[in-house]
Amino acid sequence: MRRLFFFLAWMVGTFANTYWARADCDDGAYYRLYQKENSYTVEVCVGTDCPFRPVVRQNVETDELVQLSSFCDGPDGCYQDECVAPGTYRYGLTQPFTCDEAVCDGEIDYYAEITVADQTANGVEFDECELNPDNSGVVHYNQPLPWEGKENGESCQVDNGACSVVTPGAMSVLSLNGLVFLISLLMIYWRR
Amino acid sequence: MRSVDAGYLLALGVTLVLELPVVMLLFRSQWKRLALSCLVATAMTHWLMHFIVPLITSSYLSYLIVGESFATFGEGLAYGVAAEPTNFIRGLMASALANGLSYGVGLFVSPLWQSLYS
Repeated sequence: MRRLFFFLAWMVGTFANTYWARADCDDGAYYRLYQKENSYTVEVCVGTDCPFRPVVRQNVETDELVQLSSFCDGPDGCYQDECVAPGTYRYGLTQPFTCDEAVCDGEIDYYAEITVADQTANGVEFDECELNPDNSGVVHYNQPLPWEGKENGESCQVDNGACSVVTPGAMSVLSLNGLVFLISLLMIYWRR
Repeated sequence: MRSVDAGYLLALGVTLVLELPVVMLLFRSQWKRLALSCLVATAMTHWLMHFIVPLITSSYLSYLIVGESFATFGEGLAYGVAAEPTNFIRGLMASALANGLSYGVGLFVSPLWQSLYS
């Protein structure tokens, strides 16, 4: 039993060390955009499960703003923005990531930009694009954008003390499990 | 809307691969009984976490806290009941360790999988 105790303590220690040593900004607070092959679908990954906070798409040329539906797909539940006309767009959360200068060097992006390429040469016509039946489509967005009048990558102001949308929840989950584990372990030893 | 697809099944598989050995290790003398209990309980909480909890929570943070708390205590209860004799404390300990481990690994694997998948 003593060996088991040390083994478990080692596991917990190793895990806690690797968790807190990781770069939160790289793992949590990011935007990744991809145009799916031979389609007009933009996959919008924001570093956490989808749906989460509302995501807005801005047409860089016309400034048209729309809010994406909560239609998610893929193993990590990225937002799927279907039937996006060729052009250049910015995608960002309506509530930007919060950050901690000590962890994130003061830089968190408000949005990411992507150019949707015309797929006509690949035999895929934009006019023939159809939304997935589960996708309710985009809606007009008329609120101010978080990045209006600001430079991308300069949104970091220490406020809530967290740079990644993953961190507060992850901390809670790991703390909960760690606490339950330790209390149980102590109770087992205490009863012996 | 989420659905039972390859991604969901992969996530469930990874969860089971990580959690089963932990539970079996902590109940070595009755590992078969607890392995079965772990399979059933984890499959149920995983399903609830992905399909039901999102419907009853309003933010990602509340989703995580409600869902993961339910998973930890629900599975702990199941292991405690399955143990012979009943042992809720050891069940909770196994559940907390298994869930903490699988959640933590998920934090690392998820961005990697995301970049590979896309």
